Amino acid sequence: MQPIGIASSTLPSFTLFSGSINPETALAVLFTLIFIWWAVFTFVAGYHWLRFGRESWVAVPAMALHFIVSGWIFVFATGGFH
Amino acid sequence: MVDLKLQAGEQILESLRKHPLIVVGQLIPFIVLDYIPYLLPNIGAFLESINPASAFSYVELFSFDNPWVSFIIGVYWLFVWMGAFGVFTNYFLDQWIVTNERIIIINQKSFWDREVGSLFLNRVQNVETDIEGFFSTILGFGTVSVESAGAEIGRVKMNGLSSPNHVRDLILKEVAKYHEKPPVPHIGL
Repeated sequence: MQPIGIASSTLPSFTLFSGSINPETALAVLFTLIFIWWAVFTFVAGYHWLRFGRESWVAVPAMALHFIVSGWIFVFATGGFH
Repeated sequence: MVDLKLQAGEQILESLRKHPLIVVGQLIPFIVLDYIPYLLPNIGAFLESINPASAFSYVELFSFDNPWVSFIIGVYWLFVWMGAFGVFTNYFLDQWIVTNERIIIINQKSFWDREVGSLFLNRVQNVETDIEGFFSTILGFGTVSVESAGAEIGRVKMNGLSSPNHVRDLILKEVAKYHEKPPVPHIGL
């Protein structure tokens, strides 16, 4: 499996105060923070569905839909950097 | 139903939720928010038309082909999706359960904010329905209010319930049955 690389030519460089920010680092940090937020939300939603709604057949398809839609959005958001 | 155990001999007669159109109405703002990024290319073209001598191209800046634009839109869509999924979760976990002993009211206000209450049928004094407006009348949803005597809850309401008249009739039938039951003897008193 090859590591996912970001073509530097597609990323503009930023200058903040006296130093410059590596766009690859900024993107990685931003993506990680967003992923953590999403993971916490998914955990909380999953907990509620599986604890309070597990007797309904809707619980598993609802969570599956959440993973599918979120996955598609993640691919869309990061697809331009490949 | 983890947070409420049924009593001995208690049977669930009906499990009720709000009409699906209620959640569709709640999701409409999220659908509108989803479409907003599609206006970006038009905004770019408009800015370029009013400022043709600009040093950079607004059309390229606001284009979906720009990886940063697609990244920001993706993040935006992710948050819109999480909001919509949260609304649907709260809708689905809101419930009224009618048993042969009581009405169980589950109000999922938000994540980590869940109220569960019971209204025993022997305390029910009045059941009202309120079907107000064109869509409610045509599509058959409305509010059911149950008044109780001496209970802490006093009056409970569920808005946007499907087939409110059926729910009212069911509750009244069960209340009548409940009052027909012989009283439970109190041993040792």
